[in-house]
Amino acid sequence: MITLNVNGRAHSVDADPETPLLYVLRDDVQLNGAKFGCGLGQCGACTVMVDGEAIFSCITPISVLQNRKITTVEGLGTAQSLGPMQRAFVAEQAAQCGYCIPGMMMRAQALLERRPAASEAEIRAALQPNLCRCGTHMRIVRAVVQAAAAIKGGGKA
Amino acid sequence: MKITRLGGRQAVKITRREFIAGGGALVVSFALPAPLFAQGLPGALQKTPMLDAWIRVAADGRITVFTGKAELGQGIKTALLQIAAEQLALEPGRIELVTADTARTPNEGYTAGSNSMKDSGTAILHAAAQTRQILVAEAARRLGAPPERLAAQNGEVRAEDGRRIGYGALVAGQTLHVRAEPHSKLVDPAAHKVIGKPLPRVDIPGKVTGGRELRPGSAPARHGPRTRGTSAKLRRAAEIRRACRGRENAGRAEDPARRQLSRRCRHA
Repeated sequence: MITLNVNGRAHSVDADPETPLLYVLRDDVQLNGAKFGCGLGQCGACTVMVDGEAIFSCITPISVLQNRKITTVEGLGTAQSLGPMQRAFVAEQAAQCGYCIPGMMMRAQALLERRPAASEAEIRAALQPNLCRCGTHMRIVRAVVQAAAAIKGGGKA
Repeated sequence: MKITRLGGRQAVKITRREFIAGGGALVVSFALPAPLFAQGLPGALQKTPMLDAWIRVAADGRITVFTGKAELGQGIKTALLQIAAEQLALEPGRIELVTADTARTPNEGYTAGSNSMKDSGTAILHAAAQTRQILVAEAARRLGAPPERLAAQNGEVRAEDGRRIGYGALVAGQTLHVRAEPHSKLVDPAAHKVIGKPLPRVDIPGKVTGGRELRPGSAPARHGPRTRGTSAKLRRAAEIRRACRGRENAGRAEDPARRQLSRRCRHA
Protein backbone atom coordinates (compact mmCIF):
# COMPACT_ATOMS: atom_id res chain seq x y z
CA MET A 1 0.00 0.00 0.00
CA ILE A 2 1.28 3.42 -0.92
CA THR A 3 -0.29 6.58 0.43
CA LEU A 4 -0.61 9.39 -2.04
CA ASN A 5 -1.58 12.95 -1.20
CA VAL A 6 -3.75 14.11 -4.07
CA ASN A 7 -5.35 17.54 -4.00
CA GLY A 8 -4.97 17.66 -0.23
CA ARG A 9 -6.53 14.25 0.42
CA ALA A 10 -4.71 11.08 1.40
CA HIS A 11 -5.40 8.02 -0.74
CA SER A 12 -4.12 4.57 0.15
CA VAL A 13 -3.44 2.82 -3.10
CA ASP A 14 -2.93 -0.89 -3.57
CA ALA A 15 -0.84 -0.89 -6.72
CA ASP A 16 2.55 -2.03 -7.93
CA PRO A 17 5.11 0.61 -6.92
CA GLU A 18 6.18 0.85 -10.54
CA THR A 19 2.68 1.86 -11.67
CA PRO A 20 2.70 5.25 -13.36
CA LEU A 21 0.88 7.90 -11.36
CA LEU A 22 -1.51 8.57 -14.26
CA TYR A 23 -3.03 5.08 -14.07
CA VAL A 24 -3.49 5.36 -10.33
CA LEU A 25 -5.09 8.80 -10.65
CA ARG A 26 -7.55 7.62 -13.28
CA ASP A 27 -8.27 4.08 -12.17
CA ASP A 28 -7.90 4.15 -8.39
CA VAL A 29 -8.45 7.75 -7.32
CA GLN A 30 -11.12 8.30 -10.01
CA LEU A 31 -9.66 11.61 -11.11
CA ASN A 32 -9.95 11.71 -14.88
CA GLY A 33 -8.62 15.21 -15.54
CA ALA A 34 -5.09 14.08 -16.41
CA LYS A 35 -5.14 12.36 -19.81
CA PHE A 36 -3.27 9.49 -21.40
CA GLY A 37 -1.81 10.86 -24.62
CA CYS A 38 1.42 9.23 -25.70
CA GLY A 39 2.37 7.32 -22.56
CA LEU A 40 5.98 8.34 -23.15
CA GLY A 41 6.21 11.79 -21.60
CA GLN A 42 6.26 13.42 -25.00
CA CYS A 43 2.89 15.17 -25.32
CA GLY A 44 2.11 16.65 -21.89
CA ALA A 45 -1.56 15.58 -21.72
CA CYS A 46 -0.83 13.75 -18.43
CA THR A 47 0.90 16.70 -16.73
CA VAL A 48 0.17 17.15 -13.01
CA MET A 49 2.02 18.98 -10.25
CA VAL A 50 4.19 17.29 -7.64
CA ASP A 51 5.40 19.62 -4.89
CA GLY A 52 4.67 22.55 -7.18
CA GLU A 53 6.59 21.15 -10.13
CA ALA A 54 4.99 20.01 -13.39
CA ILE A 55 5.68 16.35 -14.13
CA PHE A 56 4.55 13.79 -16.71
CA SER A 57 2.34 11.47 -14.66
CA CYS A 58 2.41 8.79 -17.39
CA ILE A 59 6.09 8.04 -16.74
CA THR A 60 6.34 8.81 -13.03
CA PRO A 61 6.05 5.69 -10.85
CA ILE A 62 4.06 6.08 -7.66
CA SER A 63 7.00 4.66 -5.66
CA VAL A 64 8.69 8.07 -5.73
CA LEU A 65 5.58 10.01 -4.74
CA GLN A 66 4.96 8.93 -1.16
CA ASN A 67 4.50 11.98 1.10
CA ARG A 68 4.68 14.39 -1.80
CA LYS A 69 1.96 16.85 -2.69
CA ILE A 70 0.21 15.91 -5.93
CA THR A 71 -2.12 18.42 -7.58
CA THR A 72 -4.33 17.64 -10.56
CA VAL A 73 -6.64 19.88 -12.55
CA GLU A 74 -9.44 18.87 -10.17
CA GLY A 75 -7.41 20.57 -7.45
CA LEU A 76 -7.67 23.95 -9.18
CA GLY A 77 -11.42 24.28 -8.66
CA THR A 78 -14.74 22.82 -9.71
CA ALA A 79 -17.20 23.64 -12.50
CA GLN A 80 -19.33 25.35 -9.84
CA SER A 81 -16.40 27.19 -8.29
CA LEU A 82 -13.67 27.73 -10.87
CA GLY A 83 -10.14 28.68 -9.83
CA PRO A 84 -8.33 31.61 -11.51
CA MET A 85 -6.58 29.41 -14.09
CA GLN A 86 -9.84 27.66 -14.99
CA ARG A 87 -11.73 30.96 -15.14
CA ALA A 88 -9.14 32.32 -17.57
CA PHE A 89 -9.42 29.25 -19.81
CA VAL A 90 -13.22 29.57 -19.85
CA ALA A 91 -13.02 33.33 -20.48
CA GLU A 92 -10.71 32.83 -23.44
CA GLN A 93 -12.66 29.76 -24.59
CA ALA A 94 -9.23 28.19 -24.75
CA ALA A 95 -10.16 24.65 -25.68
CA GLN A 96 -11.27 22.82 -28.72
CA CYS A 97 -11.42 19.09 -28.01
CA GLY A 98 -9.89 19.85 -24.61
CA TYR A 99 -7.77 16.72 -24.33
CA CYS A 100 -4.49 18.62 -23.81
CA ILE A 101 -6.02 21.33 -21.64
CA PRO A 102 -5.65 19.86 -18.12
CA GLY A 103 -1.96 19.25 -18.83
CA MET A 104 -1.56 22.76 -20.23
CA MET A 105 -3.23 24.22 -17.15
CA MET A 106 -1.09 22.29 -14.69
CA ARG A 107 2.15 23.26 -16.40
CA ALA A 108 1.00 26.89 -16.50
CA GLN A 109 -0.06 26.68 -12.86
CA ALA A 110 3.38 25.37 -11.87
CA LEU A 111 5.01 28.26 -13.72
CA LEU A 112 2.81 30.92 -12.13
CA GLU A 113 3.27 29.52 -8.64
CA ARG A 114 7.02 29.76 -9.18
CA ARG A 115 6.96 33.03 -11.10
CA PRO A 116 3.69 34.94 -10.68
CA ALA A 117 5.02 37.76 -12.88
CA ALA A 118 5.96 35.46 -15.77
CA SER A 119 6.05 37.24 -19.12
CA GLU A 120 4.33 35.93 -22.23
CA ALA A 121 7.73 34.79 -23.54
CA GLU A 122 8.29 32.81 -20.33
CA ILE A 123 4.82 31.32 -20.58
CA ARG A 124 5.44 30.22 -24.15
CA ALA A 125 8.80 28.73 -23.17
CA ALA A 126 7.32 26.92 -20.16
CA LEU A 127 4.51 25.39 -22.21
CA GLN A 128 6.90 23.96 -24.81
CA PRO A 129 6.58 20.35 -23.58
CA ASN A 130 2.79 20.36 -24.01
CA LEU A 131 1.26 19.73 -27.41
CA CYS A 132 -2.18 20.69 -28.75
CA ARG A 133 -3.29 19.12 -31.99
CA CYS A 134 -6.41 21.25 -32.41
CA GLY A 135 -4.30 24.39 -32.61
CA THR A 136 -5.71 26.41 -29.71
CA HIS A 137 -2.22 27.57 -28.74
CA MET A 138 -2.93 31.27 -29.12
CA ARG A 139 -5.97 31.07 -26.88
CA ILE A 140 -4.07 28.97 -24.36
CA VAL A 141 -1.29 31.57 -24.19
CA ARG A 142 -3.87 34.36 -23.79
CA ALA A 143 -5.61 32.41 -21.02
CA VAL A 144 -2.38 31.91 -19.09
CA VAL A 145 -1.49 35.60 -19.50
CA GLN A 146 -4.95 36.42 -18.16
CA ALA A 147 -4.55 34.00 -15.26
CA ALA A 148 -1.19 35.57 -14.44
CA ALA A 149 -2.81 39.00 -14.33
CA ALA A 150 -5.64 37.69 -12.13
CA ILE A 151 -3.18 36.11 -9.74
CA LYS A 152 -1.00 39.24 -9.65
CA GLY A 153 -4.15 41.27 -9.02
CA GLY A 154 -4.63 39.49 -5.72
CA GLY A 155 -6.34 36.24 -6.66
CA LYS A 156 -4.87 33.06 -5.28
CA ALA A 157 -2.91 31.01 -7.81
CA MET B 1 -14.02 40.94 -53.13
CA LYS B 2 -11.58 43.78 -53.17
CA ILE B 3 -9.12 44.75 -55.86
CA THR B 4 -6.07 46.64 -54.66
CA ARG B 5 -2.91 47.78 -56.35
CA LEU B 6 0.19 46.29 -54.84
CA GLY B 7 3.49 47.51 -56.21
CA GLY B 8 1.93 48.34 -59.56
CA ARG B 9 0.24 44.93 -59.88
CA GLN B 10 -3.39 44.20 -59.32
CA ALA B 11 -4.16 41.85 -56.48
CA VAL B 12 -7.57 40.37 -55.86
CA LYS B 13 -8.47 39.87 -52.22
CA ILE B 14 -11.20 37.36 -51.59
CA THR B 15 -12.70 37.30 -48.14
CA ARG B 16 -13.22 33.99 -46.37
CA ARG B 17 -16.96 34.44 -46.69
CA GLU B 18 -16.73 35.04 -50.42
CA PHE B 19 -14.46 32.05 -50.80
CA ILE B 20 -16.92 29.83 -48.96
CA ALA B 21 -19.84 31.22 -50.94
CA GLY B 22 -17.96 30.45 -54.14
CA GLY B 23 -17.14 26.97 -52.90
CA GLY B 24 -20.81 26.46 -52.10
CA ALA B 25 -21.79 27.34 -55.62
CA LEU B 26 -19.31 24.82 -56.88
CA VAL B 27 -20.75 22.12 -54.67
CA VAL B 28 -24.26 22.82 -55.95
CA SER B 29 -23.17 21.90 -59.44
CA PHE B 30 -22.29 18.46 -58.11
CA ALA B 31 -25.57 18.03 -56.24
CA LEU B 32 -27.05 14.56 -56.28
CA PRO B 33 -30.07 13.87 -58.45
CA ALA B 34 -33.44 14.86 -57.07
CA PRO B 35 -34.95 11.36 -56.50
CA LEU B 36 -32.59 10.81 -53.56
CA PHE B 37 -34.36 13.66 -51.77
CA ALA B 38 -37.83 12.47 -52.70
CA GLN B 39 -39.04 12.66 -49.12
CA GLY B 40 -38.56 16.40 -49.22
CA LEU B 41 -37.76 16.72 -45.53
CA PRO B 42 -35.00 19.06 -44.46
CA GLY B 43 -31.61 17.83 -43.22
CA ALA B 44 -31.40 14.61 -41.25
CA LEU B 45 -35.20 14.53 -40.90
CA GLN B 46 -35.04 12.64 -44.19
CA LYS B 47 -33.58 9.67 -42.41
CA THR B 48 -35.20 10.20 -39.01
CA PRO B 49 -38.53 11.90 -39.64
CA MET B 50 -40.35 11.54 -36.32
CA LEU B 51 -40.29 14.71 -34.24
CA ASP B 52 -39.92 12.91 -30.93
CA ALA B 53 -36.68 11.34 -32.13
CA TRP B 54 -35.25 14.87 -31.90
CA ILE B 55 -37.23 16.64 -29.21
CA ARG B 56 -39.10 15.50 -26.16
CA VAL B 57 -41.14 17.58 -23.77
CA ALA B 58 -41.73 16.05 -20.37
CA ALA B 59 -44.93 16.62 -18.41
CA ASP B 60 -43.00 18.87 -16.01
CA GLY B 61 -41.84 20.99 -18.94
CA ARG B 62 -38.29 19.67 -19.17
CA ILE B 63 -37.08 19.72 -22.77
CA THR B 64 -34.61 17.22 -24.16
CA VAL B 65 -33.05 17.57 -27.60
CA PHE B 66 -31.28 14.67 -29.28
CA THR B 67 -28.52 14.67 -31.88
CA GLY B 68 -26.65 11.77 -33.42
CA LYS B 69 -23.58 13.97 -33.84
CA ALA B 70 -20.78 14.08 -31.28
CA GLU B 71 -19.19 17.09 -29.62
CA LEU B 72 -15.52 16.96 -30.61
CA GLY B 73 -14.62 20.44 -29.51
CA GLN B 74 -16.03 21.97 -32.66
CA GLY B 75 -18.77 23.45 -30.49
CA ILE B 76 -21.86 21.74 -31.88
CA LYS B 77 -23.46 21.23 -28.47
CA THR B 78 -23.57 24.97 -28.06
CA ALA B 79 -24.66 25.64 -31.63
CA LEU B 80 -27.41 23.00 -31.62
CA LEU B 81 -28.69 24.31 -28.29
CA GLN B 82 -28.88 27.79 -29.78
CA ILE B 83 -30.92 26.52 -32.72
CA ALA B 84 -33.33 24.55 -30.53
CA ALA B 85 -33.65 27.35 -27.97
CA GLU B 86 -34.47 29.91 -30.64
CA GLN B 87 -37.20 27.87 -32.25
CA LEU B 88 -38.65 26.68 -28.94
CA ALA B 89 -38.53 30.20 -27.47
CA LEU B 90 -36.54 29.11 -24.44
CA GLU B 91 -33.27 29.94 -22.71
CA PRO B 92 -30.57 27.53 -23.98
CA GLY B 93 -29.84 26.61 -20.36
CA ARG B 94 -33.31 25.11 -20.01
CA ILE B 95 -32.66 22.45 -22.63
CA GLU B 96 -30.87 19.18 -22.03
CA LEU B 97 -28.97 18.06 -25.11
CA VAL B 98 -28.14 14.39 -25.60
CA THR B 99 -25.33 13.76 -28.08
CA ALA B 100 -24.43 10.62 -30.03
CA ASP B 101 -25.88 7.98 -27.72
CA THR B 102 -26.66 4.84 -29.68
CA ALA B 103 -29.47 3.93 -27.28
CA ARG B 104 -31.21 7.29 -27.38
CA THR B 105 -30.33 9.53 -30.33
CA PRO B 106 -30.92 9.28 -34.07
CA ASN B 107 -28.17 7.41 -35.88
CA GLU B 108 -26.45 10.14 -37.83
CA GLY B 109 -23.35 8.24 -38.82
CA TYR B 110 -20.02 10.00 -38.75
CA THR B 111 -19.44 13.35 -37.14
CA ALA B 112 -17.27 14.69 -39.92
CA GLY B 113 -17.04 16.82 -43.02
CA SER B 114 -18.74 19.89 -41.49
CA ASN B 115 -22.05 18.05 -41.80
CA SER B 116 -23.30 18.38 -38.22
CA MET B 117 -24.98 21.73 -38.60
CA LYS B 118 -26.12 20.98 -42.13
CA ASP B 119 -27.74 17.66 -41.26
CA SER B 120 -28.44 17.59 -37.52
CA GLY B 121 -28.71 21.37 -37.15
CA THR B 122 -31.26 21.57 -39.96
CA ALA B 123 -33.25 18.67 -38.50
CA ILE B 124 -33.29 20.24 -35.04
CA LEU B 125 -34.16 23.65 -36.46
CA HIS B 126 -37.27 22.28 -38.17
CA ALA B 127 -38.17 19.77 -35.45
CA ALA B 128 -38.03 22.53 -32.83
CA ALA B 129 -40.06 24.93 -34.96
CA GLN B 130 -42.68 22.28 -35.65
CA THR B 131 -42.78 21.31 -31.99
CA ARG B 132 -43.48 24.93 -31.15
CA GLN B 133 -46.24 25.02 -33.79
CA ILE B 134 -47.82 21.89 -32.31
CA LEU B 135 -47.66 23.34 -28.80
CA VAL B 136 -49.20 26.60 -29.96
CA ALA B 137 -51.93 24.75 -31.89
CA GLU B 138 -52.80 22.69 -28.82
CA ALA B 139 -52.87 25.81 -26.67
CA ALA B 140 -55.12 27.49 -29.24
CA ARG B 141 -57.53 24.56 -29.06
CA ARG B 142 -57.64 24.65 -25.27
CA LEU B 143 -57.84 28.39 -24.93
CA GLY B 144 -60.28 28.81 -27.81
CA ALA B 145 -58.07 31.45 -29.38
CA PRO B 146 -56.60 31.58 -32.89
CA PRO B 147 -52.97 30.35 -32.92
CA GLU B 148 -51.73 33.56 -34.51
CA ARG B 149 -52.87 35.48 -31.43
CA LEU B 150 -50.77 33.25 -29.16
CA ALA B 151 -47.06 33.52 -28.43
CA ALA B 152 -44.61 30.86 -27.30
CA GLN B 153 -42.25 32.35 -24.74
CA ASN B 154 -39.99 31.00 -21.98
CA GLY B 155 -41.55 27.55 -21.95
CA GLU B 156 -45.19 28.55 -22.09
CA VAL B 157 -47.77 29.62 -24.62
CA ARG B 158 -49.40 32.93 -23.75
CA ALA B 159 -52.62 34.46 -24.93
CA GLU B 160 -53.12 38.21 -25.29
CA ASP B 161 -55.51 38.20 -22.33
CA GLY B 162 -52.73 36.86 -20.08
CA ARG B 163 -53.83 33.22 -19.94
CA ARG B 164 -50.88 30.86 -20.29
CA ILE B 165 -50.17 27.15 -20.47
CA GLY B 166 -46.74 25.58 -19.88
CA TYR B 167 -45.22 23.39 -22.60
CA GLY B 168 -45.31 20.37 -20.29
CA ALA B 169 -49.06 20.66 -19.79
CA LEU B 170 -49.62 20.83 -23.53
CA VAL B 171 -48.07 17.49 -24.36
CA ALA B 172 -49.47 14.07 -23.66
CA GLY B 173 -48.20 10.66 -24.74
CA GLN B 174 -48.08 10.75 -28.50
CA THR B 175 -48.35 14.48 -29.12
CA LEU B 176 -44.88 14.70 -30.63
CA HIS B 177 -44.81 11.22 -32.11
CA VAL B 178 -45.60 12.57 -35.54
CA ARG B 179 -43.76 12.80 -38.82
CA ALA B 180 -42.08 16.08 -39.60
CA GLU B 181 -43.60 18.25 -42.30
CA PRO B 182 -41.49 19.49 -45.22
CA HIS B 183 -42.04 23.11 -44.23
CA SER B 184 -41.83 24.85 -40.86
CA LYS B 185 -42.83 28.21 -39.56
CA LEU B 186 -39.36 29.37 -38.53
CA VAL B 187 -38.76 32.28 -36.19
CA ASP B 188 -38.15 35.42 -38.24
CA PRO B 189 -34.35 35.89 -38.31
CA ALA B 190 -34.89 39.59 -37.54
CA ALA B 191 -36.40 38.49 -34.21
CA HIS B 192 -33.61 36.07 -33.28
CA LYS B 193 -32.64 36.26 -29.62
CA VAL B 194 -30.17 33.38 -29.42
CA ILE B 195 -29.00 32.44 -32.91
CA GLY B 196 -26.21 34.70 -34.06
CA LYS B 197 -25.51 35.94 -30.53
CA PRO B 198 -22.34 34.87 -28.72
CA LEU B 199 -22.85 32.04 -26.25
CA PRO B 200 -19.94 30.56 -24.28
CA ARG B 201 -19.23 26.97 -25.23
CA VAL B 202 -21.15 24.69 -22.90
CA ASP B 203 -18.51 21.95 -23.05
CA ILE B 204 -15.58 24.02 -21.79
CA PRO B 205 -16.29 24.16 -18.03
CA GLY B 206 -16.21 20.35 -17.90
CA LYS B 207 -13.04 20.26 -19.91
CA VAL B 208 -11.13 22.58 -17.56
CA THR B 209 -12.26 20.82 -14.38
CA GLY B 210 -11.69 17.14 -15.16
CA GLY B 211 -15.39 16.59 -15.80
CA ARG B 212 -16.97 14.01 -18.04
CA GLU B 213 -17.18 16.24 -21.07
CA LEU B 214 -14.88 14.01 -23.08
CA ARG B 215 -16.98 10.93 -22.35
CA PRO B 216 -20.60 11.99 -22.52
CA GLY B 217 -22.85 9.87 -20.39
CA SER B 218 -20.42 7.03 -19.94
CA ALA B 219 -18.41 5.63 -17.08
CA PRO B 220 -14.86 6.94 -16.80
CA ALA B 221 -12.85 5.50 -19.65
CA ARG B 222 -9.67 3.64 -18.93
CA HIS B 223 -6.76 4.73 -20.99
CA GLY B 224 -3.47 3.08 -21.56
CA PRO B 225 -2.41 -0.45 -22.31
CA ARG B 226 -2.79 -1.73 -18.74
CA THR B 227 -4.25 -0.46 -15.55
CA ARG B 228 -1.66 -1.78 -13.15
CA GLY B 229 2.03 -2.57 -13.14
CA THR B 230 4.32 -1.65 -15.96
CA SER B 231 3.04 -1.84 -19.47
CA ALA B 232 5.05 -3.30 -22.30
CA LYS B 233 5.11 0.11 -23.94
CA LEU B 234 6.47 1.80 -20.81
CA ARG B 235 9.06 -0.93 -20.30
CA ARG B 236 10.20 -0.49 -23.90
CA ALA B 237 10.39 3.29 -23.46
CA ALA B 238 12.47 2.86 -20.32
CA GLU B 239 14.76 0.39 -22.08
CA ILE B 240 15.30 2.81 -24.93
CA ARG B 241 16.00 5.67 -22.54
CA ARG B 242 18.53 3.54 -20.63
CA ALA B 243 20.17 2.36 -23.82
CA CYS B 244 20.25 5.89 -25.11
CA ARG B 245 22.30 7.38 -22.32
CA GLY B 246 25.45 8.71 -23.92
CA ARG B 247 24.62 7.33 -27.31
CA GLU B 248 23.12 10.34 -29.01
CA ASN B 249 26.22 10.67 -31.13
CA ALA B 250 26.33 7.09 -32.30
CA GLY B 251 24.58 8.06 -35.52
CA ARG B 252 27.70 7.56 -37.53
CA ALA B 253 28.50 4.20 -35.96
CA GLU B 254 29.35 1.27 -38.24
CA ASP B 255 26.84 -1.08 -36.65
CA PRO B 256 23.39 -0.61 -38.27
CA ALA B 257 21.66 -1.64 -35.04
CA ARG B 258 23.47 1.10 -33.16
CA ARG B 259 22.63 3.60 -35.88
CA GLN B 260 18.99 2.67 -35.61
CA LEU B 261 19.05 2.96 -31.85
CA SER B 262 20.66 6.35 -32.16
CA ARG B 263 17.87 7.51 -34.43
CA ARG B 264 15.30 6.24 -31.95
CA CYS B 265 17.19 7.96 -29.14
CA ARG B 266 16.49 11.38 -30.53
CA HIS B 267 12.82 10.73 -29.97
CA ALA B 268 13.13 8.95 -26.63
